[in-house]
Amino acid sequence: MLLSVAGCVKQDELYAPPYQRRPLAGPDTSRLKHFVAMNDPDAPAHFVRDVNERLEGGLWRWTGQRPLIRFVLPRGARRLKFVMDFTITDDVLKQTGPLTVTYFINTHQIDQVTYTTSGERHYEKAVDPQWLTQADNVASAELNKVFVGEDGVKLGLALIRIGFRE
Amino acid sequence: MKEAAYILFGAAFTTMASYSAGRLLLGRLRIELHRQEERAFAFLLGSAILSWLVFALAAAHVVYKGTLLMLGVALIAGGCRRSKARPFPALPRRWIWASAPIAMLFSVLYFCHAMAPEMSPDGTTYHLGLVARYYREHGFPSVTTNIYASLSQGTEMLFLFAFAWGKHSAAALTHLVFLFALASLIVSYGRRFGFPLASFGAAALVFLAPVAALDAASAYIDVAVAAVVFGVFYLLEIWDRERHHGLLIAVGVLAGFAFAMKYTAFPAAPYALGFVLWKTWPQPRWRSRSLATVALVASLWIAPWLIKNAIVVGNPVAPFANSVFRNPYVHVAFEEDYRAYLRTYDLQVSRWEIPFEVTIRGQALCGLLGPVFMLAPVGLLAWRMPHGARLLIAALVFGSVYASNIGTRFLLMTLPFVALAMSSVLARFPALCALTIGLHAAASWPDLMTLYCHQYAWRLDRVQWKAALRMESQDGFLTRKWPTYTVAKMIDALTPARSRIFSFAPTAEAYCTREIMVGFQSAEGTVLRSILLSPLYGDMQPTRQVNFTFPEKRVRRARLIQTANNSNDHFAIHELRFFLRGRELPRAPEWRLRAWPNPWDVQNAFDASPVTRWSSWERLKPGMFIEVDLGAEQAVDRVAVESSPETGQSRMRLDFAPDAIQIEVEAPAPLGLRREAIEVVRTRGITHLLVNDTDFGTADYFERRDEWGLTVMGERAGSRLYALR
Repeated sequence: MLLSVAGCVKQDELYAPPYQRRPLAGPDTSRLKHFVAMNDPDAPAHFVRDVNERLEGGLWRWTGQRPLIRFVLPRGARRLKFVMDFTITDDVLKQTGPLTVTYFINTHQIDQVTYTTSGERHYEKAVDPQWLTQADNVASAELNKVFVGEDGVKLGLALIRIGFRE
Repeated sequence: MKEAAYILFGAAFTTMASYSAGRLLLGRLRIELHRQEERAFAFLLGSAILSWLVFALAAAHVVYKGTLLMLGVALIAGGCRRSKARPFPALPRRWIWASAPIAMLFSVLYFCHAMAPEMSPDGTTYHLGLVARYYREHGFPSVTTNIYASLSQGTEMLFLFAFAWGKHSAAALTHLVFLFALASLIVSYGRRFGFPLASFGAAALVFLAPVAALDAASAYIDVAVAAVVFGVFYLLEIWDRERHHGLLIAVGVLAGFAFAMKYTAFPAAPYALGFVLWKTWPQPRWRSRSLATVALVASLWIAPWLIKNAIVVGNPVAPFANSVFRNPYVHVAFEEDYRAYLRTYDLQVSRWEIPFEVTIRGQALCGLLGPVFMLAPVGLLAWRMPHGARLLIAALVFGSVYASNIGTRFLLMTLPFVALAMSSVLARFPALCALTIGLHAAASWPDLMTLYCHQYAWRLDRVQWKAALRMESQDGFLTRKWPTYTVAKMIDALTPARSRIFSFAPTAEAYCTREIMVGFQSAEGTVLRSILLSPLYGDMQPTRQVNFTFPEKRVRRARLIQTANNSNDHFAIHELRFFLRGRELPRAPEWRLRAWPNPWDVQNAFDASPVTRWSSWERLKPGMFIEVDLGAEQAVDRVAVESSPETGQSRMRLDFAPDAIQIEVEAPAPLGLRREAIEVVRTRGITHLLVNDTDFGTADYFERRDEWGLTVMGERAGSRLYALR
């Protein structure tokens, strides 16, 4: 009885919303972000060029030869890495042979990589802060060749997610 | 040397005050004992009284040298008088001559270790860490961030009395007195009931056991508990013969004190009540009176600790039973994990190796009893001997709690009974008994222990007489032997008074005057720890976004209900947002937030910070929820739940829109988490961060300290102290 009485504490507690923090970059509720997964409903707002509007398998989208994607970086972001996850499919590689991808951040070429095998790829590279602006930034991954289908459709990478991370 | 005198005074004053209080009680109760028994029982009963009185002083916030001095002097003046008790008949001289050199040798070893600067892990972190804090603050502060402050601390009250005069070593010496009292009681038990050789052997087995020695010579509490528990058993046996009602009061005192010293000694009271019930069964009137006496007196020692906990942390048996007595200070998940750890110690070996570990190896379970205790099963043969069955039943009752913590020292409570049972059998062959004790003594000497135990076994070192007498300074000795000490001194030297330091691991708080919040020791600490780790673990970041979309609805109260049943994940939400036509509803002051379980953290899901989250801190169960009352009906067409991949097993539904379409997307990992984490931690009152080399992310905290917003203050013994900018 002592335990029961002594242990009675108010449990059904109600609270008001607390002070709203202004972090450097909390989960952004605006439409443009610094990183975007292709299954994000807001993803199309980031596409400038050469990324298919159709979501495949609930996860990825086809790119063309020169996909260009727009991002907004929060103020004060530093030591960022450019990150891109994608897949090179068997069918594409069979037709194109080794694929060379040239990566750009704004107008700066940051890397060039040749892929000789198919499969999932993770690309990650530190970005010189001087290449970035406080306003919109664009990133692109230009392919030297693309798959051309019988109907003339041009397919490059199966893009899963792309953007900047710390 | 002056320091040594203070230490000796502190321990002697505490011992004398206890002894005198016990003599007063024994006199009042008109209990007649033999002289040897009287000394030990006076000390144990008086310890219970002194502990109770110091508790009262601490509760009243009047713990000062003056009040303690007055209390001690009053007790000694009232109770210190010449004993009229008759001694037992003398033991055979050859026993004395054979055992005296061994006893002297080990006593010097134990005494020097106890008097040397304290450096035991638990002693320097919480047993004396809390005592030092109580002394600084002249009583009990409201400690809600340290689970150890919620454990019963009856022995620590004696330490507090001793600490006022001789600091840490005086407390350790006070504990050592209990080992002598225990050995003396075991010898007396056999002398009273007619098997002196067996009890003499049992006392030697216990007194020489390495883990008993190290525990007793440190500011731990297990040997004191073992002595009190054995005292309960012993007094009941005397009562069984004499049926003196005063003995039941003494039993109640010790049974209650056992719980007040350590939760795991709780069987003392049920054992006493069960024994009394058994013995008084044919006499209902006498039975009720006897049971009521034991229960009421015991509750005088038990209740203060339960009431203190109920007031401070809302859970009388904190830090346990948190799923019954729900409170904001200890998470249910922590308790489950902690108990699971104590049941296994993350042992990499089979449970069948526990006997080997606790008797010979001594590393994984922290200490060893000595190889002789591999013979413990021999004690079962005592079943048919006089007292054998009672000893074995007591061993079973007090050993039953061992499963809840398999550390070797948790066997100490049952050790006297096991040793008496073993020794009763061995004493049939006196030469074998003597040989066993001789081997036990040899195997317990520190230099010889190295021949068989694990190199990192928890055990006594060599005789530290220079440090004991302070011919080597405490500072010099501890700096050389105990690196954690230098970390504590660094914290004191480099931080202002009233600083609050967050640390992922315990440090030597007994030598530090700042408040240190250790990550795992409270719900608040656990939350801070998760905030500080979230920038380092992708799986803890809010990249799992579940969107519930539905035709526009007018809603006043919305409840998000968890529906999965999973044994590992928790239900956790970083942010819960409401939308109408793509625009988020601003969080208004009239909103009211609620959650179950862990209602106290619900605001973390509405603070717009990517490093904080509301979590159930319990394994997934259907029905867990988070709820918002919007103050008035509002139109909504989407609810977004931001959580992390580590909660991936949770499944959710909205109570007002059961048919909502759920789309789970990968949200971007927020940037600037490091800075945000430090900002949040600082708003919660933390001023400094202590990171050890072995802590996760130690390199990141250092190399990216500018991003975190940390300034290095100092570094000692693999620990780095940062100030939060």
